[in-house]
Amino acid sequence: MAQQLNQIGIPAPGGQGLNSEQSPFQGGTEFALRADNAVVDRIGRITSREAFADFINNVDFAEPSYDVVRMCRLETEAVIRSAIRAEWGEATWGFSEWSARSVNEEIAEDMTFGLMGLGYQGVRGKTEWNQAEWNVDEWNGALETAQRPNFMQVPEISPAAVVEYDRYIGFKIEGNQIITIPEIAPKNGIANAQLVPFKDSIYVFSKDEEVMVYDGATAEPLSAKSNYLPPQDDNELFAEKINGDVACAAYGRLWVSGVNDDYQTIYYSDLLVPEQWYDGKAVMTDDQNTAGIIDVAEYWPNGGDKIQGIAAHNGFLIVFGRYSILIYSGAQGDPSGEQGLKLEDAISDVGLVNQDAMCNIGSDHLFVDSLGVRSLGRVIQEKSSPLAEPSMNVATVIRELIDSQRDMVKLFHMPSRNLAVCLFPDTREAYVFQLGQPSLTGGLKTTRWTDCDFYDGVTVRTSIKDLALLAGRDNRGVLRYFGYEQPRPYTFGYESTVLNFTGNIMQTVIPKSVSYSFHSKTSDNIHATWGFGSDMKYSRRLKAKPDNNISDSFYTSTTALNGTGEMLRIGFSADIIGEKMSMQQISINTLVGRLIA
Amino acid sequence: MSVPGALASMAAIQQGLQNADQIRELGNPNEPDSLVSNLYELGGVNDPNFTDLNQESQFKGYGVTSNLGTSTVGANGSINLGVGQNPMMGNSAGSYNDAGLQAMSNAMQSTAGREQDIYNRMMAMQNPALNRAQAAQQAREYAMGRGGIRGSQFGGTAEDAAMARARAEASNQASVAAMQQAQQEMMNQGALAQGFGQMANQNYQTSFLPMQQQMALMQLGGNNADRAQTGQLTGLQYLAQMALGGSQVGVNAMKAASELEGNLYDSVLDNAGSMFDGIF
Repeated sequence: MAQQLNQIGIPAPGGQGLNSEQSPFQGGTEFALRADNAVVDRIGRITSREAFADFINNVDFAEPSYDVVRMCRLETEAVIRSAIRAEWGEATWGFSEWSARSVNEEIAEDMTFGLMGLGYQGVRGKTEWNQAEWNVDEWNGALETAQRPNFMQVPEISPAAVVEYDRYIGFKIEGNQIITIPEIAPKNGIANAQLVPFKDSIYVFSKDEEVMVYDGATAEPLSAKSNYLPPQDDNELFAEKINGDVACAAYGRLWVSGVNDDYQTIYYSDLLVPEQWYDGKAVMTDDQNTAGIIDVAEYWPNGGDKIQGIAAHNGFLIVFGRYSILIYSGAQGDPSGEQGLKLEDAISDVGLVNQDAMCNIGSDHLFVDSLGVRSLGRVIQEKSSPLAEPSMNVATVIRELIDSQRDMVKLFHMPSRNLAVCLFPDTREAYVFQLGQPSLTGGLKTTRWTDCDFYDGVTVRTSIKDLALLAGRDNRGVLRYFGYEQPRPYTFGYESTVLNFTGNIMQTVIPKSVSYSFHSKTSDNIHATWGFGSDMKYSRRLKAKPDNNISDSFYTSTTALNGTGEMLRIGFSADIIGEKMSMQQISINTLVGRLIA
Repeated sequence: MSVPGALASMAAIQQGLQNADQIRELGNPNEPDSLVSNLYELGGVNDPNFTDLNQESQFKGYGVTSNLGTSTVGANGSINLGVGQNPMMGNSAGSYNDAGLQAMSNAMQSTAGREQDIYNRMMAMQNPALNRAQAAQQAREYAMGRGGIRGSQFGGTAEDAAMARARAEASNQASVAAMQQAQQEMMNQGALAQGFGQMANQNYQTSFLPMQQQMALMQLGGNNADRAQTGQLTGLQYLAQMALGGSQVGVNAMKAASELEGNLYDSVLDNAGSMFDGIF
């Protein structure tokens, strides 16, 4: 008698995102072992991510090569963009969004500012040496080992880490053009630099260089401001210029560390007067100056550390070290006043890998330490080292990546997509965390993006909608996370964990057919993939749906499977070329074979 | 005039001359029994012990004796009080005076040094408590994670500033208190100087009290001496009056005898004229 087919349905396959931390034999089908270029949509399906689409690459210079390495926005509606709805992927704009501007012509938006690296791209082995502080002068962009600083002249160094450029230059987006700002030319850009919007200007911090201020029209050093007052008292001028590179704007002040290479001290500016710093003179220049200095050296819980980043969240001022975190309350008002700064917690063995590896998501502050992406909200709530971590579902994988790219890893928030992107620029991949409801394990639902041709991301507010912009590489200018068209197609792929039909994984499985229920407009390049164990060697293209490329619809496509083996896994891959795809369900028909003795 | 008449007249004249002689004798102090002599006798003019009124009426001086001493007033009015200042009180007054001068000198010194001394002592007393308070404050500050904070408004933290302010206030209070205390001490020295001066003055005055008392006693003695001299002078006055009365009597007797004789010679001459009226 013929054996009855076993059918297993996988609803919302991979809807809980990746999970590399469970045994592939015991993992539920809701988790995936592969979820490339995917996101988990609002109804819990795995869906193709949007494209890293070209947006603005019209530059006002003629460099052979440039990368946008860093971007930020300045809250203002002074920038008016002429826009056509179609370019923005919109069929209509609502009146309320339109704000009564002239029809279909103008959109007010934040000013977008950034840094780009120009010229020759060299690499150096900073990562292997855990160095984050080599500057261009030391390296000079040379590839030859002989030209590296002496301490680098060891044969084991492999040139695969940080990209450096001949020079960096500031820019802003104006209309559909990237306008460079020659006055802003820091030595650092891809690392050891920070862009901090504050009040009506953007402050460009670069290690060992004075902070530059750009107000949308004029760029000048902070010390050129008429009311500039460097930190000083009657006995000492602490710093002639503010030349740190770890900075944050919060609670009406600038907070800066790394001034004169001192990463134990934070200088904070006067309230809403970023030109004025600590004034400890008996006769103050400005009696209302409340700027000051915080020396954190004696508060590191491990005896010592180095300020790696400064952030604000939930009324707290967070000082990240490499291996520890200091959490201060009372940063509002006068920090040195009676109700001022107070050390609420000092967390050891959790730190920040670099100053760009953190982002605030409103309800929480995420950061990257050597063990993965951590959630500060939990830290504050639990008053202890975090027990849970957003990246716990991919901990093993992401730790290896962090370990190899700790100086370059970036974390940024896409509020319009409710995503946090942990970007590994060196390998052009990112682990993406779906904010909101966490997965069954407590970690955030995680997917992986490949082909990440960008260094940074920022969400720019306009009077119509938020733009998720990306700092494009390879002369692509500013990209936009939008639509599904990239210069090169990208592959949306999924692989399940081991499908266990009988409860006995040591039994041969003979897959017969599989049905994919998906939602898409196109079905041209969808392939069923399957295999046994780690060998996903089988692939078959699904037949096109009847209304292929006509309408966006649900369709179930069935294809026959072949092969036999243990530990069956199923998956699919789809080349995304202009159209979105969501996988609703996968159903597999199998026969069960012999038990493995 | 007839001879009988002339004889009669001659007899009358003779009788008149005799009367005049008798009257003159009454006023003759050399006549032991004359009236003048009698008055002189009564007045003691002829007393061999009676020198003269001038001498007898002169001030003889007097003296008083008390437990304090013997005081005399000489016949020439010179006074020998015989009692001096009370030496103990005089010495006491001198001591008080010296002390008063010293206190006055002290009161006139600059208070700066004393202020500093007092301030130092006050701060020395306060410093341990202030140091403990500061250590506790710094410990609290450190425990709160505020040890490394410096703000423009406070130099350090508000607590640092409060501590510094507390120290400054303590210092200020000590300084002010030291000034007040030093001034008070100066005023005390002044008051002491005044008190010592008063005591010195009082004792000095008191040191003269025996002399005053002796002089009061002398005044009493003077009264008594006055009384005694009054009696003396009264007696002398009586004697003088007697002598003077004798003299007056003598003069009057001489005058009366002379006038009688004159009158007799006038009568003789008158009578002689009438006698020769018939002759011539």
